[in-house]
Amino acid sequence: MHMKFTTALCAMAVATVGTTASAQSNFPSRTIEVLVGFAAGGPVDTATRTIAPFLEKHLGDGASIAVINRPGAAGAVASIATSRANPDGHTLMMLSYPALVTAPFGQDEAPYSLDDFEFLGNVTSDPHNFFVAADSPYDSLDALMEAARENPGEVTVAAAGVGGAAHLALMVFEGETGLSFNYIPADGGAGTLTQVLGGHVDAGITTLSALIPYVEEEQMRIIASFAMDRPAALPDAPTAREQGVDVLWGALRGIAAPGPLPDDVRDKIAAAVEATMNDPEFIAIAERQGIPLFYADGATFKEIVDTDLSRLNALWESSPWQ
Amino acid sequence: MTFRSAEVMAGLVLVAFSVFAWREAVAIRGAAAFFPMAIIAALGFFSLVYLVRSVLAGRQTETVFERWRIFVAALVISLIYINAVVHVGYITSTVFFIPVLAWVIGFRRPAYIALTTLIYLVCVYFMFEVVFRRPLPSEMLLEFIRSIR
Amino acid sequence: MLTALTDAFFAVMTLGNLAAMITGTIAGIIIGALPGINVTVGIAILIPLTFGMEPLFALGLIAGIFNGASYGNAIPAILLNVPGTPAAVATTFDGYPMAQKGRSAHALRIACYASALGAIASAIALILIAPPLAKVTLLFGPAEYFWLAMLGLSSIAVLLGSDPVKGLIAACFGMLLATVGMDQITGAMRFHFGYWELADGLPTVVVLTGLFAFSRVLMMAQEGKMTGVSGEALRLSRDKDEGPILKGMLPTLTRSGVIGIIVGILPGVGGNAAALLAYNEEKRAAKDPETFGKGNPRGVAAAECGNSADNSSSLIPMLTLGIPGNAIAAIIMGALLVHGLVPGPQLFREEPVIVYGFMIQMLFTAAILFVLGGMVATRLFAQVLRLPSVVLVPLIVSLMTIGIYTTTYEIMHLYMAVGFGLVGYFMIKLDFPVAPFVLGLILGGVAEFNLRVALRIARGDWTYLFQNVVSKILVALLALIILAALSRFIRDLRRRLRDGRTTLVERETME
Repeated sequence: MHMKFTTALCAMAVATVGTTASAQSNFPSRTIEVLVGFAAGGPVDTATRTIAPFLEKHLGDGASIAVINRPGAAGAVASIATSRANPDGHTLMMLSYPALVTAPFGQDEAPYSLDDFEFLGNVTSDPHNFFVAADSPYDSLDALMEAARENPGEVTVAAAGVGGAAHLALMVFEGETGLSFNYIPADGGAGTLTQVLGGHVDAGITTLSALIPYVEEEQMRIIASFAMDRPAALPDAPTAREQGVDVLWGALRGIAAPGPLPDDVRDKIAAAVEATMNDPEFIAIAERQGIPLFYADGATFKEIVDTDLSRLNALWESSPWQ
Repeated sequence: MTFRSAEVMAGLVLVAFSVFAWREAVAIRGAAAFFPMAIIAALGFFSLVYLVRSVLAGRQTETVFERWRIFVAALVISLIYINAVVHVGYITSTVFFIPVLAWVIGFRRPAYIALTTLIYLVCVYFMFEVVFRRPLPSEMLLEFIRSIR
Repeated sequence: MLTALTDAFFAVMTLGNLAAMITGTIAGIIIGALPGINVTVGIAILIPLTFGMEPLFALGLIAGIFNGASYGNAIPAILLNVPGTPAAVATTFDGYPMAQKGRSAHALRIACYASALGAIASAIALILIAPPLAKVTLLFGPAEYFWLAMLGLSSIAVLLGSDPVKGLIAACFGMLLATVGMDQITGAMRFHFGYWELADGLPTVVVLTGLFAFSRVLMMAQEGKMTGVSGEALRLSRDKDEGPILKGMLPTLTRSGVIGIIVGILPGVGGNAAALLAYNEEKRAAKDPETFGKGNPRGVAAAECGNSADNSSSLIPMLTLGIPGNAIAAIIMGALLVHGLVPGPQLFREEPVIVYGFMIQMLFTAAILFVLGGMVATRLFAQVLRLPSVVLVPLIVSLMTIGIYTTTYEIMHLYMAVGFGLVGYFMIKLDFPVAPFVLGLILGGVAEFNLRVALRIARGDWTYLFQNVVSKILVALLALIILAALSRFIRDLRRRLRDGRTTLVERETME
């Protein structure tokens, strides 16, 4: 019976597409849903709720957007739902990378492929960083690496979620340097900070936006940022690259949709994302909230994802983390 | 059915569940399996104690399970409703669901139930859609009309 | 600090800010009362609307929502046995039986006053001793969290009641369900049966809604009662015969308040556990523990005071250290950031008026709750019970469905609620206690995760678990509780033997 329902629904969905295909320019014809793979209140949710009113404004035509939380499996539940949604532009997603590409790893059957998505524009980029408490004996990356070299697997490093972006950052770092640390799973970004601040672990890895206030207050010290250049907000924080370790790593969040979208719908949404990212009012609000904006158009976004995928695949092959 | 036989059945279900869970747990990779296995072992042990105790000396009083047809009907109607909410739409399904279930379990005052349903739906719509912007499942009827137009 | 406090006081006392606090409190009561809409969701939706507001106006709304909701939770818990959030589970234990006896208005009032007093105590703690309390947060590493969870689990012993075997089965079942989903340490999947939706584990709210609400609905359908509670029984004036509502409850409120405040400052444990622990402690300390679960007003007061006393204190790590201990603190931190206020020690230095203003608002909204909830909300909501219980059945199912569905838009969670409704139904029919199950579900995961993380840090060295002072204190407390429970058990056993009853089973049969 459930099957029949679904089939009937699919038939109707097709019928809907069929009838509106001739008059596609009337997008949006109903509320646009933006799926968020995390519960209300987290950073991805906050970013989405901040951008939503501006997307409405730049889409025009009285567009209305509803933010829908579909938490589960580090965003995989929302990714799956998006990949299976009707590609008419009324279902969008705030995708979270690298979770998008790592979720299918180790599964017998991949729940979606990257080709199921249409990338419409990146919104935020938040580099990960190696950090220690201000009073830590490891006051530089060299000191920490030296300790890890002397006692392999002894130096404890907290990072949120096994297989999550922060943990992968550590694995990429280990792969690049050939060192081995004792990875300590922490209860989210906040858990990572508590563990390091309370002296329960030697070092931690988390995103730049979460660290800025602590570094400014001299409670924590960034010993290596995995960003391309020193962050503008913290010019004293050294990058890993300038210390001879070529690791670039961060979390990307952007707008995606199930593909392929009709051309005019895709262009319309992509233009709205771009316009929002250039909207001074939006930029001001995002800056106040500490949302690290980084715009890249859909094609560039896809390119970044594709490049890293091969690297992650290699990492998974050599040392699967599950 | 006596309370004792009900307890014996529950004991059997619990023991069977423990065995099933154990077989699942041993298949879990690595250190993740230890804690569930320890818990299941304890669960299985207590379930066995419970089962043996019920067999040896259970209460002989009758269990109270009257109107079981209504129990099953309420369960089935609720399950149909849950599916209908997702696939047909919240308002449409609720309009049918409230009167039908109330009728089945024995409430026979049409005007009263119609009014209650109406007030309830207005409140829910206002709270969820308008105030808290949590979209209710879309109405298939409306979608259909829209697609024809 | 005193000048900062007085400055903040006058900044808060504007007409606009007062209006914001009152509006927020009313909104909070409604948010708490609606299943599927919780404080986090309410504030998340509010934040984009506060961009243009004065910071203290926005924070007044938020403080009101936060405090209001912790009473709002109690409304469906008492009237319908539907805990709006896991924090309200303990409220159902005695609140619902009270409502069944026609004392719903009385129960709601107790809940309201106990909530308000808990929230007030918590706000005072926040204002006076936030910085030293914040240090406590950092003292708790994985080893300490493990012992804390064990301490909470040991209170199951108190909940076991007359039949320990059934209680232990329920507790094990709860802990087992806590392991469903992706293991947070190795990433291995446990009991997910191929469903992605289960990767994050069983959603506690869904399990508890099913267990409490749907099971009750099935029972109500079966009983088929055609009448509701009469308007007369709902009238508050009836309470006058019963004397002042909170008479003789000072010890109850003190105990629960302290438990709530302490549990609140520890990230990751939070309000869900606070209410249950406060309830257990109340039952343990009572001279008449057998009346708990049958409509003892002190059970309601302990639960509600406990789950509100963690409100302000759960903000302490966020405000002083910048570490949000739970989802609500995280979303409030987001709201502060919107207004350019970066939580952490520097916030007290740079924006004292706003920080202390927000703290004073937490205090004020708790006081508003006292007046508002007691007078208006209680009268209004209690009327729900005038509907015949057979009419309530479809309404509860419908509300439960939409509450769960709009939280995650996952049909599987609806099936889950029905499934756990059946589990709950048979647990009640067969006299299995539900409380140990809930405690196992909430704390089992905390205990396992922290034990394994601690052992990982120490690379398998068990002595690490006993190294710190805090660990030692917690272990000592744990030993005391277990010894006390054991000695009581042995005493009971002896008495029974003396009375000529040989086994527990036999006693069971005689009852």
